[in-house]
Amino acid sequence: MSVWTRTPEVVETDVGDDLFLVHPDSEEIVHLDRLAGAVWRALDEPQDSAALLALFGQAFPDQPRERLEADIARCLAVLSDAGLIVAGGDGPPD
Amino acid sequence: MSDSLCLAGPRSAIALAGDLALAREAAPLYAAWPRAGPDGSAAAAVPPSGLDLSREGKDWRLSPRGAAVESQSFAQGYEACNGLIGGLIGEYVVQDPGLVSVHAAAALTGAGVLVAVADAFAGKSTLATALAWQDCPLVCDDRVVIVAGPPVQARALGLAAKMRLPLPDDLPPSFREFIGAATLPHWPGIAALALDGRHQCPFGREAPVAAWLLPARDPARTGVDLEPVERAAVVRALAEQTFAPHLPVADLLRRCATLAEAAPCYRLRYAASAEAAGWLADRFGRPA
Repeated sequence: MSVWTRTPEVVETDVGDDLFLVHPDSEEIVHLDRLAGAVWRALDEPQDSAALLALFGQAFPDQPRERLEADIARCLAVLSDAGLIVAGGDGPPD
Repeated sequence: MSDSLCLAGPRSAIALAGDLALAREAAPLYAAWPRAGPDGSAAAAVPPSGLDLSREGKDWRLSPRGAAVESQSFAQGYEACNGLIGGLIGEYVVQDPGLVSVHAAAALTGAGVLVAVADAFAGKSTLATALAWQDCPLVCDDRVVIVAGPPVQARALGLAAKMRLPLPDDLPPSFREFIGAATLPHWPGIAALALDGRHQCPFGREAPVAAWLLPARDPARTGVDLEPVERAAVVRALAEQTFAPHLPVADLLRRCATLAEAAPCYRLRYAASAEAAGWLADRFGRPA
């Protein structure tokens, strides 16, 4: 499973519970909703999807696992499509 | 034909150079903008500030000098004149890192300036003109200069409001008369308004922003409402509608967050601009 890593030098601006990011090359501004913002914050340390799912499963124990899995996948797709995170090597980070 | 005209900028003059036929045609829109005297020579501006105007067949080409903005072409007539106004505002704000321009309409109330942030064709001009009609003087109907502060303020440039013709069907007769009395017969399909000092803030007038509004017009609704919105919604709107080529994007985003922090944020739900303007004037008061 790929490890997700933040793209270096992305600029963050917090606005309440929301987060705005600016890609250093494209200069595109991306507005993250709360869940996507939480995923971004969780990727302060590189992690794979399973680790993220475990983390969010602890934070939202009442949420069905399938729902969380889908939500996290959506957030990773948003961040990845905007070039804000990149998939690295296999296995958990060191 | 080649000539030049200098207008006052926040730091130095803004020169219009090249074929000034367009500047003359657009003059009613910026009639209140002070001309720069010899001491405000554009030659002294660093970087050189201004717009070079040239013809491209039937179109006009506007080439800004003061910022890393590409030249733009506009169809002759009102479109080019409005483009010139946009170019002038752009050259104005890039002279001062504390300024940005926001695609918005604004009017002065007793509580301060209401700034309605919205894209084109959202009814901004009608709402701002209706507020002027309600004795809340117009700050600007299309591109509002915002001063970072603190305090965060809106600055008027005395530009004429423009309304597309025919006017919307839902305008009451007295509002139509107000518009008719101020209209400059200049371009077909456009009412450019020369408002008096009671209904328009003069060039350079500043006042704190009292609220950020995100207009949501729905002809089917009844009544007017201000619904608080999360600040992020206004930051997003400001980030989309702010012109600040002199700021790196990350700084622009931080600026938008700071601006949104400075005043309450609302979604303005309404059906008719005239009704909404009266309601807002009652809610925020009219200037003394």
